[in-house]
Amino acid sequence: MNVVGTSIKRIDGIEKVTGMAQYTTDIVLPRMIHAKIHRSPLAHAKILGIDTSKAEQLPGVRAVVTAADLPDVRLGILTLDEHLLAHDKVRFVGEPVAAVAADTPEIARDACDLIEVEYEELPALFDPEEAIKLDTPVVLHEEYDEYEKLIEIAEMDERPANLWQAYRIRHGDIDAAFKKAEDEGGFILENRYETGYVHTACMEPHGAVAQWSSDGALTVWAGGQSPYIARDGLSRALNLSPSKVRVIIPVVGGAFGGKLTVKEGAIAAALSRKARRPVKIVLTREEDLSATTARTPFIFYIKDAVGKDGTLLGRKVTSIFWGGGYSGEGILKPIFSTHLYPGSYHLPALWVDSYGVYTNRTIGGALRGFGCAESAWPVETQMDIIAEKCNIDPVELRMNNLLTEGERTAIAMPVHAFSAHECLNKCAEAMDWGTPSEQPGHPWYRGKGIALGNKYSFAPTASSTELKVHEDNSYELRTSAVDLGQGAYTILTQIVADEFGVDIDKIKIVTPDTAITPFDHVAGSSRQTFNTGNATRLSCNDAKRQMRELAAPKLEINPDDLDVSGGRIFVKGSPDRFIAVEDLFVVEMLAGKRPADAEVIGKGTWEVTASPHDPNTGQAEHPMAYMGHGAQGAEVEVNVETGQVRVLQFASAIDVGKAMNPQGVEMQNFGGACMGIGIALHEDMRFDENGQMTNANFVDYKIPTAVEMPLSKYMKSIIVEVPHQEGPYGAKGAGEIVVVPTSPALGNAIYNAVGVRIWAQPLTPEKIVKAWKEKQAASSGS
Amino acid sequence: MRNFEFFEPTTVEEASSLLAQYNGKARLLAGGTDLIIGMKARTEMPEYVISLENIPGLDGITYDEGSGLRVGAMTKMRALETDAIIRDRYTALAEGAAEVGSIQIRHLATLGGNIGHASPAADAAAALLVLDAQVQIGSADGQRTVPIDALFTGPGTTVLEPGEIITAFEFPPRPANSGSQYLKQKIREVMDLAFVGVASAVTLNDGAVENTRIGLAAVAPTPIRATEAEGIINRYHPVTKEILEQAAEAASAQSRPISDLRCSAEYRRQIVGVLTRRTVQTAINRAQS
Repeated sequence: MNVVGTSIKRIDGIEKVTGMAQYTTDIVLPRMIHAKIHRSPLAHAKILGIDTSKAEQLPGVRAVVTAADLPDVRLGILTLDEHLLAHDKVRFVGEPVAAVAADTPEIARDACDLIEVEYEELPALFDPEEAIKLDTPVVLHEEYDEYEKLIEIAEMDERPANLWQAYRIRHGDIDAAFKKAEDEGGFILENRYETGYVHTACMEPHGAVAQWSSDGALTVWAGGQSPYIARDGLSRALNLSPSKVRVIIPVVGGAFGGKLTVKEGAIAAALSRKARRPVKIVLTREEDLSATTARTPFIFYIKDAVGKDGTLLGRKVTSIFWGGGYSGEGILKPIFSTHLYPGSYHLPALWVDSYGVYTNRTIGGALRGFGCAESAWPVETQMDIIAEKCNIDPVELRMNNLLTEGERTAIAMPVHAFSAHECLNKCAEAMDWGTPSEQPGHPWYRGKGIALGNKYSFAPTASSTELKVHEDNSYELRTSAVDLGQGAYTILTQIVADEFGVDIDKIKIVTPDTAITPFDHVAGSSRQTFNTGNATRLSCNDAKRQMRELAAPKLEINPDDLDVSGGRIFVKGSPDRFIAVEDLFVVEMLAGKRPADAEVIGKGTWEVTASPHDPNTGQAEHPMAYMGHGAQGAEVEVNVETGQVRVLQFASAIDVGKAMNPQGVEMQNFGGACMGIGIALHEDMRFDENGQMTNANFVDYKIPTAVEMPLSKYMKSIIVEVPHQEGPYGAKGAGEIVVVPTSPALGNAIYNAVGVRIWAQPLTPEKIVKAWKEKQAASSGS
Repeated sequence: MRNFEFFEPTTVEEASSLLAQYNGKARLLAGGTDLIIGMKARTEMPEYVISLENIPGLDGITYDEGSGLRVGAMTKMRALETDAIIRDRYTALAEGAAEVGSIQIRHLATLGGNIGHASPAADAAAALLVLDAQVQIGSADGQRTVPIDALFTGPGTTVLEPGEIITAFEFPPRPANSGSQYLKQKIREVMDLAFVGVASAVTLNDGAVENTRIGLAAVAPTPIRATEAEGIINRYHPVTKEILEQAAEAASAQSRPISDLRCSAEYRRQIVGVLTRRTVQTAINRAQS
């Protein structure tokens, strides 16, 4: 029986489509009350005083908290720079300053309006290129040097006061590469690119429910990506021993990187402790968009040295990550975004300076493709321009520059399971690449574009699972891996079913609960199939070992001569000599069944170690768990009168090592295309001159609908399977690579259609019309 | 949402009296697709909400070759979008209605609400302008009629007096040799607000284009007519590509758009031209067929 590799239906599908699934917002506890957050209206200000007395007097209000009610600790991912509630300063519009719990959400909101905060407004800093200057008069974190930091940044002569990350790659002789390009008839291609200011925009907004027990222990339910990261954050924010904090992750309605921490849970917990009642908090859509983490932009200055035949001789990149008021998960983006540069192409010289800075905007966090979805934009647009300049087909140009299996990349990492050739070939084939688009006639113009991408999965990391065997021949997997919609529970079910050779209805997943399920790092970085999948195989093997040991005396044979499958423990080579799983259990006097010996609970821990990132050279032999590859192509039609872009056809060829559930991979391909199309073409968080978001709703923040997608017959999902030596069954993750090449594929298609390049995302109709007009004016003038 | 008192009157007079009595503190509830969102967001905090749901006669579409079309204020957008006569003779109205929100929204949203809300971007407003709608207004003191051109006074404001309620829209009969179209430019193809909306309507007389009406939405404080452009189309026969281009430029010049988060004034002006050209051409084609 092989269910791994087959398209079984999602195990959570029926409960979701029938409305039976229990999300955080569905949780109702006895005596539960409701919380709202009072947020900063200013982008940058000192807090002189907070008066909560009027709010406290409002009937129905049960508790009000400010920073004064909390331990004076700073939180963060690697640079601890942020208080749960603003302490002495606010650093972005929407920063939580106080919170209220009341009998109804409406009363809590009224009470929030009654909280009076006295501010001394400070000049705000919004421009990242201003923030990185040494002489910027506005400094967000005066006490930066005193903050606790778990990461070292690159050495600098003098750190700009608002800079919190600096990472370099130094490989080969970049100056020699530029000289060579010029001396030998090649060229230098230098451009500035920007990615957009976008949000995860999950269907389920952020929320949490918190409850305390009489012994001072806290339970928090929250849709999040990691119960253990949440537990550690809650424990630090509230000064509790980790064992006093229990985090339960209910069904999650999407995360995409936006739910790594559960700040709302900590605020609800602080209110709950004061009110002595369970507290629920659910953010409004406006709060969710404007005050949680966003995929804030990168600015890239990229300069390529190219030989006259299109060979890449060297690449120099300076990038600035537009951070917000606090470093958040963004602290890792200037590092991880650089993984894309050496990931696909042979680069004799690579020079990268990658920075992150504070500005008075929302915190820059994770969003599907963490850094690589951004750095693919300059790289894969450059490749398209280089191809045109050299008069080489863009697919061929890329092929000519690809790495080869086993080669060390520009960061000294040997490439393994390198599948870029195959992804590119299959994508081009699906796009009918050699055939130009049929032209419908003015004002519509059609064109095709293609791009390549890669996405690391981070390390070091670890996953543990437990596998309990029940007396009815059913198998219970306890995991802290979170199914955010990506299908993790379905794939883990398939693995357990295969390992035990039983039907999938014999498998039950016990979902994340830190009181029950063992450690798993996070549902992020496309890591669950790879890491939790491996841990699950290990715990299955451990359970099988125990079962063989229990069965051996009964079958009078050495445990090593036994095998487990299909509900039987049998003698290898003699499947008729067996004992049924049910018979490992004995009937007790009171007619209950217990295991013959001990509980059969298999345990498995999968760990990936990593060589540390050297922030001054970027050289690291094993800086990641694996590198995934993919290519995407788009055919678009562009209206030159209005700038409107329609995506007619989309092909996504991704390498997953082994497709555990091909339908799941197809859904990732389609979902990624949808998200990537939205990010490339439409989505754009807008702010006024005071730093207030002006489109914090789904009318004006434009996520695509089904109508913006190509017709399903023109959506092509291509699965490439180049097995990874460490992946379970050879598998790698699929969750992020599907949005990495999307933006440049679309930008290149637009260029192919109408001959204009838009350097800053999103590629809006207005920008396209403007560029088209300028191009017309230039060509008629010449 | 703040607490409010809810009324369900059964006559226009009763609703009007309540509206007048709580002037400034009361809001009429038709389909609720704008009001309820505003109340949830607290941009609207009425103390009194007066539902028009239970007043008989406010809903419905009637057509008579002699007197024309009558649409009750509580008629749903979905009904306008799917009505055979409206699709055939008052096509721009069906197309304007079809552009509002989603199908679910259009099963709730009403024509009276869309017009009474007086958004400069209202999808039905441009169509009403070009189809010569007369707005029936009722109150405890009786009835009056205002031409649609004279209804809007600014963003969110109309000539309605305290206590007055839009009860119906009347449209003159449209001959078979007439045609109209509404087009809307937006970022998303569906579920989006117009950053420019243009409706055009024409009647053919012996092949000559007459009675041209061009209505523009979202490019001025109120929906407006592009009268200069209308004159150009009426003046010349036949309507060539060059004439269309002249009219497009005139409409563009007559628009008074602003730059906002959706797009720039310059881009809006360009789109006014494009959509004017396209809708006039389509209206003529439809009148011919």
